[in-house]
Amino acid sequence: MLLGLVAAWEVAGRAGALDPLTWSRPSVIGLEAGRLVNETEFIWDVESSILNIAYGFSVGVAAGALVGATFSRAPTAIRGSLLGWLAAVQGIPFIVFYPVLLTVFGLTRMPIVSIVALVVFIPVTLSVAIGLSSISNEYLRLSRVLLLSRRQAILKIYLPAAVPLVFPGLRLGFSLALISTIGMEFIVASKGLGYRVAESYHAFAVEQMYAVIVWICAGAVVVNSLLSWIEGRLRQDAVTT
Amino acid sequence: MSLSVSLSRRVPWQGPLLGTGVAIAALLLWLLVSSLTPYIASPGSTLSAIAEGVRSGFLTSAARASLSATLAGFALASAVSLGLSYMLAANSFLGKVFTPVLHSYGSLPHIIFLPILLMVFGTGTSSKVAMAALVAVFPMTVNMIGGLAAVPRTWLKMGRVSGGSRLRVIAKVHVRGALPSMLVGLRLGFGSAFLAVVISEFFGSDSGLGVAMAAAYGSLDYAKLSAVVVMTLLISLLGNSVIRLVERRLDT
Repeated sequence: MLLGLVAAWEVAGRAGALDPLTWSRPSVIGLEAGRLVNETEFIWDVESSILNIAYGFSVGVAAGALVGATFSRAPTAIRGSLLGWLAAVQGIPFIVFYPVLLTVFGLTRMPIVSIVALVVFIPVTLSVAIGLSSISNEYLRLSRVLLLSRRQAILKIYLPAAVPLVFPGLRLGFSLALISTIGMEFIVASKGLGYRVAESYHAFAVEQMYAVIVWICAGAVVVNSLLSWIEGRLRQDAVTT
Repeated sequence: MSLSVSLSRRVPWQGPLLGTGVAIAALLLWLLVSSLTPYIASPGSTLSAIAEGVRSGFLTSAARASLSATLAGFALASAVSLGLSYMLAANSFLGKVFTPVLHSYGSLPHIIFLPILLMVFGTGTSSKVAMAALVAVFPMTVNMIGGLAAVPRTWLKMGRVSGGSRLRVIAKVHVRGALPSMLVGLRLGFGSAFLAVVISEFFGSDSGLGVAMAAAYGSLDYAKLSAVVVMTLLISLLGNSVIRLVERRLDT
C-alpha cells in the first residue's frame, strides 16, 4: 500500500497535477537523499542530533536510575507518593521551557540536552522504582543462600532481574528523547537534523527538505523496531527463566 | 494514575500535602533562580506580565486562538482514531498488519512534517489543526484499541443476543466498555494536540500562544516570555486535570 502511494505520488508529480514546489517527486527525493549522505554538512547535523540525544538520554537515565533505585527501597507510602507525583508531572510539556532556557544558555547544546534529560528522567525513574521494588523476595533469599557479596548480588541477581522490568521505561525515554530533540532543533537551533528541515523549508530547498524528513523517519523507524525486537527478546527470557 | 488514586484513598491528606509542598518548593526554586540570572523573570514580574497580557487582551486572544485550533485538531483526531481503532480491533488480519505500522508512526518526530503542512495549507489555522490531528491520532488510537480489546466477549454476545443491530452494539457495548481506556487516550491526545499547536505556532503562524512566545523571545522581553510559558503550562495542566476528573468519576 505504501508502495502504491509512492507510485501515485510519482505519477501525479510527473503529470503535473501536483505543484513541484510543494510536493516534489519520490524519484527526485531519492536522488537527493542519496546525495546528502556524501555531504559533510549533513553528516555534522546527524552527529549533532545523535550527540544531543545521547547526552540528554544518558543524564536522564543516570539521574532516573539513581532516584528510582533510592526510592525502590523506601517504604511503600513514600514510594507511592513519589510515583503518584511523577505520574502527574509527566503531563507537563517541558518543551515549552525551551525558549526560556535558550535565553539563559544561548544557542548552544545545553538547552536541548537539559530538556531531553528532564523528559527522559521521569519514565526512567518510574520504571526503575517500580521494577526494582517488584523483584521478588525469592531472589533476595537466593543471594543470601549463595553467600554472594553485595557486588556479586547486584551484578548477578538484581541487574538481570531488573532489566526486563526497567526496559519499557528506557524505551519510552529514548523515543521521547528523539522526538523532543528533533522538535527543539526544528524550532530554534544552529544545527541538527530538525534544524536542517526548518532551514531547507525557509530556503525553499524542497527536495532537500523531503530528503532529510525521509532520513529522519527512516532512522526513527529503524531505532523503534530495534527496541521492539530487544523488548521481545527480554520478555521471552523473562518467561523462560 | 490508578496508583495515586489508591494512595489518596488510603491516606487522604498525603497526596494534596505533598502536592502543595512540591509546588511551594518549585516556587522557591523559581525565586532563587530568577534572582541569580537576569534572563529568567521572577514570579512577581511574571504575574504582573500575565495581568497586563489579560488586560490588554493579547494573552487571552492568543490563548483563544491556540485552544480553538487544538479543539479542532482534537475533534478531527478523535473521529479518525475512533474509526481506525474499530477497524484494527474488529478485524484481526488488519490489526496484525497495521499495528506495527501504527507503532512506527508513533515513534516519528511528527513536527518535521509541519513544513509540508505549511506549504499545503498555508500559515493559517488549518496547518496547525492538521499538525495537532497528526500528533494526537497515535496515542488516541493506541488507547482505543487497548480499550476495545478489553471489552468482555460476553458483553458482545449479550448485545447480539438481545437483538441489537451492528451499530447499536458498537454504540452501547463497544464504546461503553472501552470508555475508561478511551478517556486516557483523549487525555494524552489533548495534551499532545495542544503542544503540537503551540510548537507549530512558534515555528510560524499568524496567531496563538506560540506566536506570542516567539515574539517575546525575539524581543528579549523576559517577563512576557515567562508569562506566555506559564499560561501555556496552566492550560495544558487544566485540560489534563479536567479529563482526569472525568476518568475518576467513571472509575467509581
